[in-house]
Amino acid sequence: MPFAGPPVNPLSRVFGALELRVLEALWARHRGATVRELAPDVAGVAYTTLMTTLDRLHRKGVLAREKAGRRFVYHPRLTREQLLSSVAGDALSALLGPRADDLRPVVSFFVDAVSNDDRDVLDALDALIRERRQAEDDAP
Amino acid sequence: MTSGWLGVLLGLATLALAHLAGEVVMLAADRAAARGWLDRLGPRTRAGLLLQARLAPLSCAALAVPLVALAFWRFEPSGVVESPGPILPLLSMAGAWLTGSTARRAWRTARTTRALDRAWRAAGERTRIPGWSGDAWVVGTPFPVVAVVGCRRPVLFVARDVVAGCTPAELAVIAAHERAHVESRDNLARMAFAWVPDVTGAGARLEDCWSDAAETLADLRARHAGDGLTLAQALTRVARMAAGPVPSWPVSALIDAGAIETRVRRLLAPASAPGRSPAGVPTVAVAPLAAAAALLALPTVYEAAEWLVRLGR
Repeated sequence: MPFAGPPVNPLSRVFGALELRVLEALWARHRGATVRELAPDVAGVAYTTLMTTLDRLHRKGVLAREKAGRRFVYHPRLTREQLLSSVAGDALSALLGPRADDLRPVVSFFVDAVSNDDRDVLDALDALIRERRQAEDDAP
Repeated sequence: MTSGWLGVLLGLATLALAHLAGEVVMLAADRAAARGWLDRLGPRTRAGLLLQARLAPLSCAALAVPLVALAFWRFEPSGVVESPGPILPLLSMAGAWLTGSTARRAWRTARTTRALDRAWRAAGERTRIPGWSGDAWVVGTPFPVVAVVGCRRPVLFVARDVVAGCTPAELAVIAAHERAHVESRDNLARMAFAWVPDVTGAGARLEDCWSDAAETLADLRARHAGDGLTLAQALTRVARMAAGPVPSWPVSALIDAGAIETRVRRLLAPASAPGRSPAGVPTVAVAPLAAAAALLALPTVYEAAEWLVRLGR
């Protein structure tokens, strides 16, 4: 089912503008930061507002924090991509609701989910493919 | 009751009866599939038969409702007020429920498909996949998505891990597999499945059987276009990425590696042509004959409709 229109950042449906700025700043640092360390990266935001925002993101489960002396060091639990895919999946699950099995989107998948117990089967199949490939290569 | 209202009730009742007839066809096909009678058929024929069986309620309604409407319009005297028996309103209520259910399912399917498309586009970026000429997006989902979404302008979504983990040759043969689905209009069939209510549950089982046949056919076509070994390798590689927790968004079915094993072993078996499309000539020849027969049967259809109106009175 085609759809028209510009792509929308799915994170903006879940997080406020300031929360997104804070998250982006943390991802850009590639390491954790205290409120004081992060403040220059989020210009124009009061220290207390930044502290409240970080605390809110921590309570939402997006940021982890650990005590360093008298301060907290915050770091993202997920990368930007992981968070995006999580939000994308959750948005769809929410839309589908409890009757997800009843009505599916019009989509065809190359491979469905397999269980961890099936690794042995996959190993055996890979061995078979290698064997067949070897036989083809050896053939004149 | 005026003839206008009577016509409406008759149309809805015909719809319910046609759906009932379609359900009987679905149950018969389901029984045939369960007994393995369809396994001897090639994937193309099997997929075609299962598709027709699953959509039998729709086909029966598409035939019966216009026929009854035509007979009613042709033979019902105008201005006649008639009181129907109790059966007609009951059947027409069932017909109204089926119509509403179809509309609701159509709307929900369109909505979920659009939501999936939007979510993946928003979480991904446009890309080029070798062998795929249409719109393609790479998405950062934890599950190794390789999926075609939509019917009219199908879009290919591929997970970043799949793009990174597969060789260009494997990606090309994956694209050939997905292209085969597009050429077979499999998503159109899926959409039709979603529209037609499945009262007895036979429809869901037929859909699973059809899905298996459609996958087989797409695999065979991709092998015919490329290399079976590479496709088999791509299948196990992507399946290995798929091992783990079930994703939170819907996949078409949760299967074990048994299905992958069947597909891989089939790909490693000696090659056979996937088969050609059935010729359209017989259908074209049969259509006028069927139309003529229907016109000749109009008086009988009208009598049957009158009987239905009076039933139980």
